[in-house]
Amino acid sequence: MFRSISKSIMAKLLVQFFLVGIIPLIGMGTLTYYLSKDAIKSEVFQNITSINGIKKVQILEFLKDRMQNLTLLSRTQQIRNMINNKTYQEMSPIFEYYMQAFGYSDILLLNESGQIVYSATSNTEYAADSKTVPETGAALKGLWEKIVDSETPMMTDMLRYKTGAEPALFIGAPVYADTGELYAVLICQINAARVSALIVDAPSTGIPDAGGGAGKFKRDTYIVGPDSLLRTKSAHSGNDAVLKERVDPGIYNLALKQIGGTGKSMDASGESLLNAYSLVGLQKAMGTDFDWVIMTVVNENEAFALLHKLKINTFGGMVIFVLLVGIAGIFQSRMIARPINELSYRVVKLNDGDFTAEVPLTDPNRNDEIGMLLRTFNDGSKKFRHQMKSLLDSTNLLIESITRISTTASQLATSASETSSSISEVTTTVEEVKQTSQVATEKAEYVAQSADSTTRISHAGKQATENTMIGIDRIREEMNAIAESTVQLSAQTKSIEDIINTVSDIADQSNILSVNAAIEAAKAGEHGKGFSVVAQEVKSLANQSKEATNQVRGILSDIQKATSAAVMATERGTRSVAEAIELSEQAGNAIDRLSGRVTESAEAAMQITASNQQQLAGMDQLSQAMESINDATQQNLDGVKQLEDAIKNLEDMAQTLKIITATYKI
Amino acid sequence: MNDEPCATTGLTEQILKIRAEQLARIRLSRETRGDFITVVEFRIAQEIYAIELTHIRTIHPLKDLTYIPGAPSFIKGIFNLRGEIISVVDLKHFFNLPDQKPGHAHQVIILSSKDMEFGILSDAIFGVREINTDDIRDSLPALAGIRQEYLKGVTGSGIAVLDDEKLLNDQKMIIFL
Repeated sequence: MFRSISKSIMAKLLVQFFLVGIIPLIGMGTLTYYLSKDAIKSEVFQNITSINGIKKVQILEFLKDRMQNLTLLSRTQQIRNMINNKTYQEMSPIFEYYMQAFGYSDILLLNESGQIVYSATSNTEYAADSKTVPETGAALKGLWEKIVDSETPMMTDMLRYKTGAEPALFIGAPVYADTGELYAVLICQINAARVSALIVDAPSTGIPDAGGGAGKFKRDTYIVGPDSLLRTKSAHSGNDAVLKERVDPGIYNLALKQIGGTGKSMDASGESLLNAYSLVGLQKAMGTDFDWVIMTVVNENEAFALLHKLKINTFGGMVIFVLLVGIAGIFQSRMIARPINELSYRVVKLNDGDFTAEVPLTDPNRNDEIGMLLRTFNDGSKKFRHQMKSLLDSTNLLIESITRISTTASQLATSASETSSSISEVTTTVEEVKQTSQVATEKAEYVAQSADSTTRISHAGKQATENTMIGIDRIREEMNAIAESTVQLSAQTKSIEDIINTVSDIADQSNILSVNAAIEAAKAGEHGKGFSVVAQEVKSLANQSKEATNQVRGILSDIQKATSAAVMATERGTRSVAEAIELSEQAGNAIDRLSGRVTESAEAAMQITASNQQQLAGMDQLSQAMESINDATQQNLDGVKQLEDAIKNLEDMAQTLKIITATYKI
Repeated sequence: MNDEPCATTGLTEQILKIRAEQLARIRLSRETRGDFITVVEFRIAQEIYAIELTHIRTIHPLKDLTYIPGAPSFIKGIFNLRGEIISVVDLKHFFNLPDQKPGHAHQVIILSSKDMEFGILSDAIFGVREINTDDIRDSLPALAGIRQEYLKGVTGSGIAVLDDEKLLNDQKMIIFL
């Protein structure tokens, strides 16, 4: 379980959300609860303490007031007169008034011997010596004695002066005679119920509840005496409890020591009570030999009912908030965790070499960091894919290139070995060339010798051509003569043609003449018939002569053609002779040039011999150079082998690269 | 030929007899036909024309022709015939025939009447001959156009016989400059 939490980011986020949500909530709730509890508690205690204090002041003021009143009454002339004259009955209305106004239950008058001489309630005079004088209780006796001793007003504790009597307290004041001696004691009785009413009837006293909410509980205030018995009635027990019910004696002792305080106690039924107690301070204020403790109690459960409600509200609210935080946490962590899960799934695939992975964008408009991350991842993976593809292409290209390089290298190796063998051949050839050049030297010497004889022969040739030229000149002269006679012949044929033309013209004119004659004959009619025949004959003669001239003209044109051909032939002959002269001149020149060339050849042959010597030296150098080239070629071969090894390594590397890139899916 | 001498002799005789008959018939027909007219036969361009002797004054070779500017194209020019000024008509232009190559010898046939005298340019004169008037037929459709007006007809041998009267009396030939 823990492992799965540590694996899943969603679970982690959830736990964090819970922790972040719940810890402050619980802390705040608890803190608030306890602070509130303390506040409420202190308020409750403050409340009861203040009420306690108010009650204390009330009771103290009440008693002091009563004592002062009684003292004032005891000092009046009327009292002295009453005692002196024993006119108790006359005083009865005044006592009545006092009892009503100050809530006394009774007013008693005790004489100097401590006997009751008058009781206002029963309006009875008691003779000092008679037996009807009621027995003054031990308490009253005690009070009388104290007053007589101290000559100051005094108060007794709450007591029953006789069995069955209501519990009451008595305040006494000395009455002085006109002479100034103490001769009577005036005592008033205040019932416990009166005192109880002062304390218990809290709402009527006008004391406001301290605090809004905290005052809604029931409280109880009562006075406890030194014997830990109640001096006033309590809310739950009534008047019967006075001087009967006992409270925890520890509280009284505590109050004596600390004058005031708060605490917890248990009541008779076992319920837990909160109390505030304080010493009333009778000893101090009124000089009594006892003191009272005034206590205010509340039921703890009632007082803290609000606290209980607060607890329920606080923790109930806390549970609701925890649930809300949980739900919000689930939503939030899902929003964060889901894309990250997707992304991580893709990244794992990416690690396995699958670049086709793209995170599906559930919300394409998501603009926070996760949205940006997903989009950037998609863009990045697209880019990476693209780059991977180019890498693959490049790898393939690399492999191809390496294959080509490999081929080229092997070709290089082959060509290097070929070069090597070629060099051997060249070396051999150089040797051969050396031999050949030696042969060439010999041949060149031979050429120089033959050039000499050729020069001599060419001189003879030149002589012969000169003789030929003389003969041709003669032929040319003959040809010119032939040409001249042919031209003369042509001119003569021309004159013959002129004559023929004249004859032809005459024939034409004769023809027209014959026609005109025929016309004239026809016009002459019968007489012209014979002339018409003559005209016919003339016409036929004209026609015959025309035909003859035509024949002559044909022959003449043949002659003309022949003579033109002869002229042409002679011209050609003349031209051929001129060409022959030119040719023989050219032949002479050629022979001249030939002899010059032959001389040059002889010189060239000499030069060839010399250069052959140089060539032989050059061939030696060439042979040495070939040897160094051979060495270099050997090195070249070694280098090519190393190159092949290197290319092999390169090929292996390229294959490895291809295998690596092939693992990627794009 | 020597194997059948009799047959060959018979055939030759037969042929000769037929020819004789034919020759005799022609002569007979000539006698039975109508009048003959005597004409001068000549050539213009590639065509052979004939014209009656009636109005022909003479034939003269063309020499020293003088061109007349402003005259119609069929008037070739004028020339001096023994002190007489004769205008020369070129029928090729008159009949709208294709022009002949120049530089050839020409003859002028001089036609003459009471009112009119001019020469017709001919490329060659063939001579005088007689033509049977029955032999003259209406002109061929090929010779249609302006020529037809001036023709009497065409002989069986294709000679166009010109109407000399019409040519001489034609108003177109009278030209005022």
